[in-house]
Amino acid sequence: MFIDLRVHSLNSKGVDSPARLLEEAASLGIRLGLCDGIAYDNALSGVEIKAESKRALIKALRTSWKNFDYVVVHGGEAKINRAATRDTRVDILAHPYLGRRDAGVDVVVARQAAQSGVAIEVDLQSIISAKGVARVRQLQKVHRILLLSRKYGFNIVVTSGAKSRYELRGTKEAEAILTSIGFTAKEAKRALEEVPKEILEKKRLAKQEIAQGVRLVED
Amino acid sequence: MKIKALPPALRMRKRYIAFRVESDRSFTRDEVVRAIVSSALAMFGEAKVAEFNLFVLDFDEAEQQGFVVCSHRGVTEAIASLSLVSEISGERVHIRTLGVSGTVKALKRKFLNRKRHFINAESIVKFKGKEFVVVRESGECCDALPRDEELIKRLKLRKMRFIGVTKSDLRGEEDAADT
Repeated sequence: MFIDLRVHSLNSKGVDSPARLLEEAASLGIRLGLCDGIAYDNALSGVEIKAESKRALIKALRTSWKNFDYVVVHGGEAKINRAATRDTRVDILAHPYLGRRDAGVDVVVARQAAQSGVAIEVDLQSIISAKGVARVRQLQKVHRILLLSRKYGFNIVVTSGAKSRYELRGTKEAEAILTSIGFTAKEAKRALEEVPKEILEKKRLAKQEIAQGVRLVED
Repeated sequence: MKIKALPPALRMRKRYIAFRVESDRSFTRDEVVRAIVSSALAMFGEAKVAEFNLFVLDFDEAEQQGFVVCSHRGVTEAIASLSLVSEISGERVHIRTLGVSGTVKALKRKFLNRKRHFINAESIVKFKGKEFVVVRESGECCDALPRDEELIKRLKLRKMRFIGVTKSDLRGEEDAADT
């Protein structure tokens, strides 16, 4: 089952109410994470941190990382991509290629992401809505990320990046898109399902920590 | 003289894929066929599309659903072509794959039997302190036309007309986070 961790509702950048998105997700057979920066009771909730500088990013992380089920950093700028992949409190670096001509992920970012366990996001919407040459460029960026992931072993997480109900995709559909752009079936399944699961589990455990690296284990 | 049909063992093994077009308006058969074919051609090119033999066989304009046929080796590519359609005639759509089957009969029985009725409504509702006009509803889901500038702008950017809400939203059962 596809666990789609970056979906925006009416409460942030989207056009649908959270309840409607959950309804649509149920009929598609996927699980949603609403990335509105609001802690919902009835849904997985994430926050997308959009920071101008490294300093602002660290400050935002300090206040918000424990309040949500997962933390996403709005990538795109080279220094933010680097800073985000260095921080273990970050779960996902979203669209590192946004507004760039390159993939936004280089060897340094790749190594850091592998070491600190930050997953790098590829959003389906950037592939679906692009056409012609723009789609070719976008696919090249995705290929670069895939190449580096195979070499350095960081996790790729695929999301829909949806801002409306029509931008969501079902598990089969997402798998079909990924395998036809160069993911192996195993990689696609990992990016859609296993990596999101690991992210959520990691965060759940991290929230139980009473000091860095020390967790209270209940009997 | 008529040429003979291929021996059964050499014939293409067909798969039929049912789909439904979801959008803020209805489309004609022509629009949908053109969108699907050009999506497949753009993504996979002529040589590949010829290989997996994608054709749109049927599209019911009233129900906004239909099916395509492809070779059994091209199911993934066909599903990808369908779900890579992002807009038709300037309107945001999602072509939802309903299911795959080996015969038309089974496909119709399994996936194209459910009808999705929209009730066209015209009622003014309040949601989050703003007024909306509910335009149509289907089960729990309602599509509503917003009246404030900001939301209209957002919808325009997404090439849509209506925002999506549910009946529980309109009843005022807001989630805890909103209060």
